[in-house]
Amino acid sequence: MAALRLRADLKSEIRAFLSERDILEVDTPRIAGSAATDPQITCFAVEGSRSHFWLIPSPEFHLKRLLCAGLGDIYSFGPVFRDEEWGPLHEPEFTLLEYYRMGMTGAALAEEVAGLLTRLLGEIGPVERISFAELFEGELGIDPFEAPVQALWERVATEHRDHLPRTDRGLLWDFFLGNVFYPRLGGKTIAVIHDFPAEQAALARLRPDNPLVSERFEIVVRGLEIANGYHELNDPEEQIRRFEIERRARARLGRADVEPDTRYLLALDAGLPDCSGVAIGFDRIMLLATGAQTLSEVVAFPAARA
Amino acid sequence: MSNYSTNEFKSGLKIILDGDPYNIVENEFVKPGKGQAFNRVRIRNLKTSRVIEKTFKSGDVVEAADVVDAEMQYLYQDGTHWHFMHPETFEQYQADATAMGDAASWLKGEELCTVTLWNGRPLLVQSPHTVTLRVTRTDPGLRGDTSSGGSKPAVLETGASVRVPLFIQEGELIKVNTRTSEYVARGKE
Repeated sequence: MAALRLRADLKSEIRAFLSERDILEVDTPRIAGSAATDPQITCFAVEGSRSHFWLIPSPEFHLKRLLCAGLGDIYSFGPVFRDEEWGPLHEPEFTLLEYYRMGMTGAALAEEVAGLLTRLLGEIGPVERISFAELFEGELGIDPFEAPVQALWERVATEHRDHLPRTDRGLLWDFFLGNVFYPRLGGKTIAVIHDFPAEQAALARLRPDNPLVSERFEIVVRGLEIANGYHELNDPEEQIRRFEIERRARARLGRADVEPDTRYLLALDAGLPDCSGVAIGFDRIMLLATGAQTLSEVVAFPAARA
Repeated sequence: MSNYSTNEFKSGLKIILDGDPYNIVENEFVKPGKGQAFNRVRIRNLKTSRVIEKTFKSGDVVEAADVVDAEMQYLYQDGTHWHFMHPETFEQYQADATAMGDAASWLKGEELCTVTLWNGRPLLVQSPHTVTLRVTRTDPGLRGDTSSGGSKPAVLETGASVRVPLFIQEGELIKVNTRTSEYVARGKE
């Protein structure tokens, strides 16, 4: 009960924070005509009598279509859905805050999110910026890009590595980030991991001065991944290339093919303004606010009892 | 041969790894928002009881272990094997010393035991939680002797050794906790 009251209070506080900055709340649909091409995300299908839909895994493309229409700074705050994600820190339905700032850099947006987190949770600590490469160099003493992939695999603890492929660099990066590094980060700071590899740019631009890395960042507090943000990619040609790379990855992983969202591509043709955006897991903030260990403690009806 | 995908992992599931059967003790889903998901598991080797940790890439498939628990009646021992009977199918099973482990020292006959079968063969035998057995050898308790904390060693009819209170005499029945090897109470016929 106390957790539900706190949820309501924190949501009001978030809306106040955004409103003070003239960021407009918009309602985007929860069902969409296109699924995510991201090879690591599975959408729930919705069979209607007149049409086939997908529950949205994120409001990103709808928000960006509004940005292309010239709406300016906007946000969506509501539920999103991802199949196959069940665990103490994962619910197939969770509450996502996603917002966009025109003309802002990723670094500036990360600072702003740190300010929001501090307002919601009290003093956490200073922002600590660490690049993806620095994280690996600091923790493992090897360069994640240059080191032979075998060397990365050998750094995995013996009992954990024997079922992990030795030749998949991207997978080993994910292993270290999620299993080893993140749980140790952000103990007394707001850790901002930046300069993610180009292979993991998702929808971020590549850095003009170093196209091996992208202008993507993540925020980790007390070991929990709280936010993921981009200086947004707005080049339609590059977006089409990324969709195709993701479709090939899906095929390689034996996952169902997904048609790219053509409505989004049309909007990009019209022009997405230079902007940065961030997605923030509200239920994870609730974990930090309450000290709870599992998401099922901070939502009224977790999926297992929905 | 059937398989389990990591999506089906949950505690209690029995799988085969490197030829040995394991029980999943704990399963944790780990996934960066953007990126590959993993299942970190703690698993118990059903042969050795050792618990180890492993990480699987989510979506990986592992072989299912045909492991079931059944309540069976202990019949007799023939020198190398312990014989059990399923009370409903009347089928008989033979467990070797490895499968018996500590359970062998608590059984005299007719007890209902939990027998874990792997591919139809006994892998592990658990004796009942408590058993009632006769004391075959113990020193007469000396009144006022508290130097040994008020207890003394005793040998039971199955050969097991336990510590009993000083007032217990040879020939008496006692109830013993088989998990802790501790005296619980005087037993009844």
